[in-house]
Amino acid sequence: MAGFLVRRILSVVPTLIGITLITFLLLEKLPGREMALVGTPGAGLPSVRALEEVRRAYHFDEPVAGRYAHWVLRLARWDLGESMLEHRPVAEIIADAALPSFLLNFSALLLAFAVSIPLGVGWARRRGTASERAGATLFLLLYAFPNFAAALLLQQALAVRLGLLPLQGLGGVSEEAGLLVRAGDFLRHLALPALCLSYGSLAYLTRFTRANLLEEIGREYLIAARARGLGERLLAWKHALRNAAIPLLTLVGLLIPALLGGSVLIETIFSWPGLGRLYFYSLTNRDFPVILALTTLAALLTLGGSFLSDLLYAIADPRLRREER
Amino acid sequence: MIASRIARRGLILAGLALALLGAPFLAGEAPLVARREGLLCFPALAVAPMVGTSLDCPGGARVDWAAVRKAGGEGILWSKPIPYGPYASDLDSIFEPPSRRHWMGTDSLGRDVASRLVHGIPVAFIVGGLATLVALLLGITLGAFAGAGGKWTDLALSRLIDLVACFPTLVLALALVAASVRPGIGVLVFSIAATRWTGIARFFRGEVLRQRDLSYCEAARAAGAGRPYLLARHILPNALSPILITAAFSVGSAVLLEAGMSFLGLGLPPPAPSWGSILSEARDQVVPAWWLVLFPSAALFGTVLGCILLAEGYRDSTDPRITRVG
Amino acid sequence: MANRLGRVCCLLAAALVWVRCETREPPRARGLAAQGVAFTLPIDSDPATLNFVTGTDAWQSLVARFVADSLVDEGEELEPVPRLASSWEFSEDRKVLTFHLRQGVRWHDGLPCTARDVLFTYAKLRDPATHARADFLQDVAGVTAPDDLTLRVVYREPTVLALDAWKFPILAEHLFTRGDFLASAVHQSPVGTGPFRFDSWKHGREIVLSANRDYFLGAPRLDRIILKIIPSRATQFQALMTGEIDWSSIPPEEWDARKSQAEFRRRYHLFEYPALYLYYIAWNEKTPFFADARVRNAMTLSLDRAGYVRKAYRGGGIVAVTTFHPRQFGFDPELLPLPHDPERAAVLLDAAGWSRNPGGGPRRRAGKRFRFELLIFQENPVQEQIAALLQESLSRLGIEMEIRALDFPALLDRLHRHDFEAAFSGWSLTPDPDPTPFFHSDPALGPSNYVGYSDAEIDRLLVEGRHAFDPSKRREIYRRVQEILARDQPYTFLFFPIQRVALDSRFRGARVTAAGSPLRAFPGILSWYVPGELRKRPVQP
Repeated sequence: MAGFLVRRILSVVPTLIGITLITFLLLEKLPGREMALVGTPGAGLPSVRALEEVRRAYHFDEPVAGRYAHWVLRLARWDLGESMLEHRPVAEIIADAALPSFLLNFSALLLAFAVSIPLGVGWARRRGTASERAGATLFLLLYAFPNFAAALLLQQALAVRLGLLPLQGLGGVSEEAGLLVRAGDFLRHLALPALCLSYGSLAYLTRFTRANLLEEIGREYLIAARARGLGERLLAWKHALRNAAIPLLTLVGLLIPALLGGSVLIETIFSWPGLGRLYFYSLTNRDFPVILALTTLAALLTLGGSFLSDLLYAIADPRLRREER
Repeated sequence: MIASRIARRGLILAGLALALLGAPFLAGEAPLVARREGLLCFPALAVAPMVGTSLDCPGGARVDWAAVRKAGGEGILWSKPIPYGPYASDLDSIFEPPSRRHWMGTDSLGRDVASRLVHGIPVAFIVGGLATLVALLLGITLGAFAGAGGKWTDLALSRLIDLVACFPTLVLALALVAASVRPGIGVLVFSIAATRWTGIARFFRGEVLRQRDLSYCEAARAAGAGRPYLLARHILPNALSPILITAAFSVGSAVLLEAGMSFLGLGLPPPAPSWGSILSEARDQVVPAWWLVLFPSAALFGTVLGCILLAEGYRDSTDPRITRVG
Repeated sequence: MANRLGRVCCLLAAALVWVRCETREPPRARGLAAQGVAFTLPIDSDPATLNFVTGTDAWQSLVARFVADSLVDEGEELEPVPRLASSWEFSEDRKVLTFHLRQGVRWHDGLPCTARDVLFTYAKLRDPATHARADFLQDVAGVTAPDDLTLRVVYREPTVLALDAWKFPILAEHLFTRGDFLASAVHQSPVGTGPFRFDSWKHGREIVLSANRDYFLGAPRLDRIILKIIPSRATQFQALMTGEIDWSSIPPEEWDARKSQAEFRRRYHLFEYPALYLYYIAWNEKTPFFADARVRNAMTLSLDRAGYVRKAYRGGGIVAVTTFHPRQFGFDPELLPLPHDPERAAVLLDAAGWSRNPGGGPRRRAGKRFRFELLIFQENPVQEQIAALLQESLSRLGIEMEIRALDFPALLDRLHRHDFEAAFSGWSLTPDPDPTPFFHSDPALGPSNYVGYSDAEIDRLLVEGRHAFDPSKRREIYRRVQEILARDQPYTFLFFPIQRVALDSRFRGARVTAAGSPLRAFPGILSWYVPGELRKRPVQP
């Protein structure tokens, strides 16, 4: 197993190099990179001389290989470079956006897991009843409903017409107000985006939990349990959490990067200043250092996520095998 | 029952055909049957150049049916259910809520939403279907090479698959569209496909690796069968079911991705009746037009749900573990 | 499960309601723990930088207006108003302009402001390494500072716009002695001499400025300005209604309803003024389609500009004839915009050789179909809508137009390389109507001439106009310019948007001027105040 781990860790480096190289080459193809730095919407075109200056100043006239090597060497020194648009360290810009993103995705995940496991357990235990079929339908519908459409609908219904929740943004309370007020205001702003991000995973996880539970536990255990006089519910929970936990946790590894990438639309709709929106904005404004840094980050998260899930599966396997015997 | 299974499949195919081809008959300004200058004519059927002209009304494409309708509709015998075209603007009736005239209301230029929704169906399915097809081809081909090729091919291609899978979906698609020299529907299809193929490739590679050590493959190899033959005749058909299921799911998510891109303004060029672009019109309004959000959402939802049901139904019908009655 | 679910839902709903009550600030009692009057206005996004010299977006220039000073400013009637310069004079031949700077002006960090700072800013503007826009300084031959309070500008030719060129904000030289100018951290926390000093910038949230009590033209009567980042116009308007901000543009669809509501008018002052911006469609004259002025005229005739502005834009615009805005000097009211006349367009197209079959079908000339691509900017609904309307009208005329939405750098890039057939764009205008940048055929004088328009008479007239000091002569020159432009239609000029904004009524002293927004022109925000009884009470702890 150690060998497996080492091999996996070692394979990260070439993958990262491959990803960053492809991104670099792709970015080369994007038209208008000098314009993004000098051009102004509404004003005249920059002079040819100004464009030449930009090209020279940002080394666009140097060969790709050299620039890429330069960037990789900087990265090896933990230097992400400076944003071409804002002339601020990229690390700072990403940190600014990472916190809202993290809070949003974390709450979405938390919400999904906190609700889906009890629901999945409860649902599995009601096998054959009418509420099971109703649940099946409900979760299928939830799973299928596109999340940005839901975001728009919920926005209209809850924020505009009923005024229950704020429309967009992080929070509008001034700095001097008390901590409780600010926290509450932030939670109110967080509610809708987190809900929209989470309900799809929630539906998926609930179905997954239920399916897993049903697979692991046949009807036999119930008979055995009743024979032994143990509480049915307790046993269900014990079994569920033990057997379904590992596969669920492996899913976490895969869900995290999906949430991060998938939130571009949600972040745009709710004007949430997170990484998804930053990515989109940097792409349309040709801010190469930021794009490269974000791509690397996303790749690391994905690789880390799948590594984590593989690891957990590797750990889980011997235990399961022992269980069956 | 076999008959009911065939009937169900026939129904699905008929539905698909209706969706793809039926839009021009459901919504449009030209009527289905009209009488002009004493002749009975069928402007809706005038699609094919050879056949159509004989069926078309005198005046051909230059007849302004909207004006005819406004002047009282003389000569129109049978209109299409939605008598508006998807591109016909009417500045006097912008942002109208659903009414008897416009069943799903109008958008920012007074275009009928129902008509745009209906004409958006073939758009969605063509883009989603083509993207899935391209993804299938890419995935199967590269997965086959990875699984059946030597150790180094496998290593290189596996790395490539991991690589592409690491990119956040929407951003990859956007970057591909932005980087293309002449953006158009081809690029859009390709960029959506580029985000979908890795799962298929991984799965097919796994299948190839698993199956090539099985006894029947060894026997075939002993009999002199080459690798491509093995792949095509034996491995692929066995792996087909799960691939088709994935493909069905994939069509749904491809449609969603296209809608998301259109929502951000990077999908099909305007004024294409993509559902995503109808949704994006509802953005940034103080009192938003709910009909611009509800109906395209329902259409997207229906499509995704349909794909899931199709995929799950197919899976259940081919899964030996599930006992069926009859 | 249903029971438990029900209970959980009730709990959740109760929690939501409780949180809302606890955290909602009473609308009119929100305020600052510190005393004082704050003016909160929304901006769409973070400016990329607060570098006064190279910053290109509107938010940056707004902050520059508050934090920095220029030598001269424009007054309410567009007359030049002294700011950093207390006086100036021209030489006899009008080639030398001498500014006398005010005594005792200090930067916000205490050091004195001198002519060297002006020289420094000028040098940075013209330095190609900063790639700042400086074409308005192109007539300047040289600038010197004989002493700390005098600045001497030498022009190559006498020009009407001599004074106008000096309305840019001034930077402090002493802050940029070390390191790279562009990457300096000073641009994240700028220092100026203006009526407000920079306090803080929380990216993605707000920029806070506080009053400079020692301002040389008098302390402002507002204590703070807060620029809040609210990306969507709809949310801005809502924030205005809830009292979170004090200023907002009114979306076109709200204007009709709101302007007649008595309650709304009581709570807010409403202002309506022309935005100095022009939407247009550029027709590349190097293509076979648009080389002919008749075709370009036909394009303009086929688009119902007035209808769009009136109906879809709710009257929020003025249809344009040329780049001259009705409020600008030299505007010719006799010249009317082309009407929406598709029949005349068809006649012109036929005359230009683009004919079609009697039964319909595409227009052709010498076998080539009339089919072209219009480039638009991808996130702009106005452009999308007008493009869709144009496509519809043109298809009725037998012309196929494809629409391509690009992001801003890609669009500019194609404009720059003249790799387009038609493109949709917009220009920011200055109060002075000089249209040389747009129409002069020399790229140095006409950097905005994307379509390659070249007319010898126009070139001559434009140059004359810049040097005509007699207003009636200048007016005559520009009348002829407008006439030629209207005849040639190098662009289809669409409309000038009209800005409609609402300001919380507790602010007094704001008014619309010839320069437009109440925030522009001098004294602008310096004259705003809030009467004592209307000030907001601080929040109870």
